[in-house]
Amino acid sequence: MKTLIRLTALTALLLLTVFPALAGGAAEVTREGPTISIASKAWTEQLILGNMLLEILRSEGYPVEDRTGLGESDVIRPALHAGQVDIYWEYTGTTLLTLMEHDPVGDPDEAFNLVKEWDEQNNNVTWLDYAPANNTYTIMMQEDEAEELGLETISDLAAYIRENPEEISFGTNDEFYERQDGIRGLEELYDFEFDPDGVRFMTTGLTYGALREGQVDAAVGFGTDGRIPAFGFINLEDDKQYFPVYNPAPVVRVEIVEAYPELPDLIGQIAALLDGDTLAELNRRVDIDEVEPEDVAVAFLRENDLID
Amino acid sequence: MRSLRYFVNNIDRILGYTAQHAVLIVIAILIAVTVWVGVGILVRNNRHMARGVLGVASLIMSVPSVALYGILVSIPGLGLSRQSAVVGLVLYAMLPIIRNVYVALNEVDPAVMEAAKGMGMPARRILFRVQLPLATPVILAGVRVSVVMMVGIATLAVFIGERNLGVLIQQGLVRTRPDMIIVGAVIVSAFAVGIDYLFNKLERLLVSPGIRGEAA
Amino acid sequence: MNWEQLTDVVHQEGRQLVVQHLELVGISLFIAIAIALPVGILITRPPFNRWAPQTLAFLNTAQGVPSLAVVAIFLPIMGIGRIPSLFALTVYALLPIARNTIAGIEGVDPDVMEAARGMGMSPRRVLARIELPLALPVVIAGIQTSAVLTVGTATLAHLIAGGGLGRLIFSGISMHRPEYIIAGSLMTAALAILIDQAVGLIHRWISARYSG
Repeated sequence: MKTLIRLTALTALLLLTVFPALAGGAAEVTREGPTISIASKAWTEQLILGNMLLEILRSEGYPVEDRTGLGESDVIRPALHAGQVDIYWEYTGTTLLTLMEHDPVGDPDEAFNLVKEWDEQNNNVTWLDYAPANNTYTIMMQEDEAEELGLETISDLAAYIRENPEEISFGTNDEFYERQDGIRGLEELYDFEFDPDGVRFMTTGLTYGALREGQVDAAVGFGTDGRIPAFGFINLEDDKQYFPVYNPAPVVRVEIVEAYPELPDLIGQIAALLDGDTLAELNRRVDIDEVEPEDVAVAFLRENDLID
Repeated sequence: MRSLRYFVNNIDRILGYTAQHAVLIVIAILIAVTVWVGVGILVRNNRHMARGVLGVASLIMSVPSVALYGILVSIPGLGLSRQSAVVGLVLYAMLPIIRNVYVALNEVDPAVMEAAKGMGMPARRILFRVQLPLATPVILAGVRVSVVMMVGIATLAVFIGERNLGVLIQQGLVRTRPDMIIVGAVIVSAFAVGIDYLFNKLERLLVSPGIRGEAA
Repeated sequence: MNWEQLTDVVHQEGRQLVVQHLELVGISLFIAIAIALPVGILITRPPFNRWAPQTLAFLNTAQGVPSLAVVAIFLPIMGIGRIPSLFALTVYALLPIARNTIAGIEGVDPDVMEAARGMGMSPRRVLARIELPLALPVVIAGIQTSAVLTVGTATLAHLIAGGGLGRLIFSGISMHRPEYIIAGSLMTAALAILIDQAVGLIHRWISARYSG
């Protein structure tokens, strides 16, 4: 009997918590048309960007559905092509290299035009204007260690490894290890080779923690990540301009643009504001100041008078 | 301490995630138990079929859940939906339940079975009156393992659109935020213990005192 | 799909990945059996049975927490690589073995035990000669479930530099290469079935010895 009472109480509590969450929600829907389902991948920058779309569309009265925080493109792409997801931010380089299996491209416009044309022809999906931020790869080290060894550029690192082949361990995710613009091309261009036993695979977010805890000497990260300065890392300069461009841009189903022709201009206002430093600062607010991504997105849109 | 602060500051959000977790888990448990106990009973007398079914179950369990969800999402009709999340969980529960049902039903003392047959009981009556009651503790052991596993694996369904406690763990991982991970992990494991406790009560109802042992 | 590239990877690294995977599974399963079996037996008899609920609650907690969360929490203490992988895998393998050990032993017909005691057998002898042999099929079923679970979970070790077949699967996911995922999953599944069969063989060998 006691169990039953406890169970009832628990259920009631759960229901109480679900319903306000369902009833909650800000602006009223004032536009007629299909509901726009907004997705993002499950990491900081993606969550911020996704929430920006969500908030601006919501405040302009569009019917929206929040699907932020999904898996990688293996989850989002099938959903996009099946019409379960309508819009998400993708990086030009990612689509170019993984989906199209194209060679790396260094020019932002060229990369953008290639992916846009490909998606329009094959998937009935288009790309809206890209942001100037370039969230490409970076090779990170702890500042102390880099200084001690006198390393500032990737060329320095390459020279050091050529002389001390077994000293530097390297933390990488699978993507960087596998892809054409990843570790092998880097080794080729800079003419060195990481000690195969010193290359340690891990999931993307873990490279920062592993480097901070001294589990590896160098690691791959993303240029706009706020943890790089906050954890006392430095980015080794890509002095031979090896890494291609990764500009974020909203990828949207053509049907949605046809239903809401004014949508690209509205969203374009956000993209235009997002240069590398801005994005790094927004990421830092989440990763270091521990503000929730939703709140960072809303604050940014307010600061720029894009929402009330 | 930081975890506690995170919990207090985000209590609304966290309660919402907890509720979502509960809903998903309850649906998945109900389906998994009904279906897999049923399948286990169906294959109990057919060694070949049982082997086949257990082979399939092993295969499914050895696929990482992230990959399995990736596959489910690309199946038309499932996609990004609660159905996908439920199907994934139910598939993972297959092995522990079916294996224990099969083993338990086949381990019922042949002498007892003979006695029941000798009394002129039809096969169906033997199953429900003799075999299943005797097998219940072992069947429930399998069910309870599955249930606890499902509570944990449900966190991965966030990748296909669920908003449950997995959000805290997933974002804690990518944002290097141990406080979020700890809050998520503590609630998830409290869930596992809580649901197992309910099953313990259930076991007391279902298992006749004559065959009940001492420990929980 | 790019099968050539996959063939290259499998050719170059396949053996090493399988060996790493088998090591992870073998070691953690061995430790898990060495812990869960005695613990399972102990908490079915006095005076330890008082601790049964707490022990099982602990094991449930361990099983309920997602493995990556455990690893992330312990990162500052245990670091990354094989050690935390083995730790997490071992913890994960405990519950199915312990649960089935308990259920198996408690399922032994009280009349049979009574008879054995009546014949003047010591509790230890009753355990070794009556309870364990009769509980064996259920105990083995638990070990088999744990083994398959461990083979699958060991793919996650790759995410924390622990090695193993997760390499193929997670590369496939992040690079959008289904052929990698398929190959990795098939190899993992093959290992799972192989280990499952091996445990089954050991079961038959033990039963043969007991009855012989």
